Amino acid sequence: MTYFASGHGACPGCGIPVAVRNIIDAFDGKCFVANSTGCLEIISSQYGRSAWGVPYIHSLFENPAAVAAGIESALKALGRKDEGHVLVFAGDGATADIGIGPLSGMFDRNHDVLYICLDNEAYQNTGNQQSGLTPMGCLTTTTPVGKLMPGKIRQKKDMVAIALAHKLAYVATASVAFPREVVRKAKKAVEFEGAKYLQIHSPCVTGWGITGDQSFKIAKLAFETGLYPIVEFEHGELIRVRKIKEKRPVEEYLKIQKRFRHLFTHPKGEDVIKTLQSIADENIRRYNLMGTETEV
Amino acid sequence: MLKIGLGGVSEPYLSLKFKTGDWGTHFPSVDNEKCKGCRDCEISCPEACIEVKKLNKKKFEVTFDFDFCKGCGICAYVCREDAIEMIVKEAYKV
Amino acid sequence: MMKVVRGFYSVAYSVKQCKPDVICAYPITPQTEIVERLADMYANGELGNCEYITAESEFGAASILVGASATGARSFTATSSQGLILMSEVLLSAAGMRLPIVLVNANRSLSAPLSIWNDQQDSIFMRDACIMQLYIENNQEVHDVMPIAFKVAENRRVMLPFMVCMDGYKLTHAYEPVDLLDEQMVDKFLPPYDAPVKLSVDKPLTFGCYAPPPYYTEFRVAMQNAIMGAGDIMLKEFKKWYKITGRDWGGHVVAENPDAEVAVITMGSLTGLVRDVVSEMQKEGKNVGVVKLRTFRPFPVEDIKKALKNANKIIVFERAVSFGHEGPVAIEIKSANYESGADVYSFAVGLGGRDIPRDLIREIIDKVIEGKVEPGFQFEGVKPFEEVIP
Repeated sequence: MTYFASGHGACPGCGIPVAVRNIIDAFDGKCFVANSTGCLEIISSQYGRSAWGVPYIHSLFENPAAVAAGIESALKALGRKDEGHVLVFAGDGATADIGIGPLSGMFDRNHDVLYICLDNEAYQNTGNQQSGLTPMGCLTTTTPVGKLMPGKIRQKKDMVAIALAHKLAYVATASVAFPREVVRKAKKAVEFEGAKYLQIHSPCVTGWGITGDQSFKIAKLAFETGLYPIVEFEHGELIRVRKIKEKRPVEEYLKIQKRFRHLFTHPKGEDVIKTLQSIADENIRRYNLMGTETEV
Repeated sequence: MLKIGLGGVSEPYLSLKFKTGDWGTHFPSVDNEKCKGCRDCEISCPEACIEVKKLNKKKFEVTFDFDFCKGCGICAYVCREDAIEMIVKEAYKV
Repeated sequence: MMKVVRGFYSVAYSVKQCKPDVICAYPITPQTEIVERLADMYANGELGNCEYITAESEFGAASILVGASATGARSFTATSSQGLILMSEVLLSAAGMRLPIVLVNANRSLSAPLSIWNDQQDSIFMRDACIMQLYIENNQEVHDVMPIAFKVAENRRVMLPFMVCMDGYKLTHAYEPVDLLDEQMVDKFLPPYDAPVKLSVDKPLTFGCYAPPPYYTEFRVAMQNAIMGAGDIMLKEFKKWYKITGRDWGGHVVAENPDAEVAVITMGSLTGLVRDVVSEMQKEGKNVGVVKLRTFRPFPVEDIKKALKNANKIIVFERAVSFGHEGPVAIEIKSANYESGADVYSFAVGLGGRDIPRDLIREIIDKVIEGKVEPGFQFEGVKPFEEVIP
């Protein structure tokens, strides 16, 4: 029995349904989902073919945090608070770009909502346009590669720091490639009263130019290079990280994805790769990622 | 007559009527003798179409719902025992 | 209980008696005092289990109410001008999702240039949103209309947002004697909201589906059917309210002198001044009458036809402009009344809070009666000016 039914329209190999299903199943369906416009919404909520077995609402691209706040407030007012947890599933564009105002408002008012950002690092539903969470050097249709430009210039926005700046009780990152850890973190998060933020890295088969069977492998590589640190904060304190047993150079991660392949031939590519390596190294240093302890 | 839900509100689980089993070019095949029952394939399947049944203390049976399997191959990738192999469908053989 | 109160308090007190479950707003002049008074009531524990939320923007406020209303909560907000326009994306979505959110719009002009003063450009802009719009003449009327707004919005055959439009400052900040509603009286008229569909774990429905071409049209037709049908439901509730309170605000259109050959149409707080001028002219033997337009959406076509059946000249005082065309109310009147062949004279007055002198109203009506002006649209009370490049 799952609360996110088969027959949804996700691309083969997409990790989003894996994360979503495992989370809502872990709550035994006792949860409310507010969803932004985006990949998850479009694959699951066409009229007449809903995949959802939990109460679900989609309103707009940029407002799921506010809609969730409204659900939570209504449940309180109507004496139905125990009916279930209030969750948001939103893409990286909805989270870091267009919806960041309502998200900050929801965090600031500290609604009892678990906000889950499904981070596939661009507007993938509409065909790979750059978002604030697109990494540096990435090819998207709005950061194309040309004689002058080597893809996206600026680096990935630090949403974890933004969430922490709101003094949230629980902030964490995870990866679709570690589904048990995703479940553990979602369950852990809802133990805290108030707003929580969980950001889940999720490779996009079409946008990243990879094959479906590679999605978990590439998600793991993102972590093993240090480019996508998997961290967990409680009350602002870093309490746990997933340790990297064997560090991989960023090239290994970049070269197997179409969205980064130009970096190996573009005149500015070498510099970008160097910068990405230094970002990865800095993540490893900052979060003390090297080690042998394993997560669940 | 067409029935439409007030405000676009829909009944749950209607996606189950839409089979996605013909999307992929490959399908998984399992060697149940190798399976140790870790369930990594089951929890990692994007289509929720894998079930790992425990037959006895040591024996497990992995079944795929081919009505929905999109042939992505994540199950084969996550399998620690290399028990799952992706096989190209007859129609896609060149 | 009769009390002299300001407009914003009249709204807030009436909303309190309607027992909303979630109130959410963002301050904007001249609406702010409405939600400030509700915040006071919340702080004093006078709103029962109601959740009162100050959002980070009007966009956020409307979005919060989408979530609340979909969960089955009676939901209220108030806004004005830029705030309404910032809400507009959400309110359009709420209408399509058939969520009975009730809002008060304190009518204020739109930027640019920035102006905090009154006209009706903001709510008129929302004309095509499938949101009911009722315009208010005075602060007793707005007090009486709030329970009706909730009741009509939440009617199962309607299920649409309801916007009560009251002129900013002119009503919101005006002191007037208001007979404050008694709790039991409102309870009797307005039962708690029982949502026909709601987000619930027991019956996990999917809200906000996207509709591909085979479905989209039918959803839009259903919206049109609902708002068109809302007109009769409003009339029934107006009558019930009259029976309970003894106060009759009339229907969608109030033709105060139905035999008049010259009809003067107004919407909102300007009605009182126009009525004053017209009654003075009637005493002088002029065949002129006031038509007060209360309901703008759904547009009361039949009532307008009836109200204007004897008019051969129709004057519309506009508080907004449909830029690139003419006065927005006149457009509606012409469309509703085209068979009559009456001439329509449309005058935009008092934009951005400019004073509308009594003499100007008199002058305009006089020149129409005397045939000194062609039918059509014009601005009145405009100073001679030249646009220069600074």
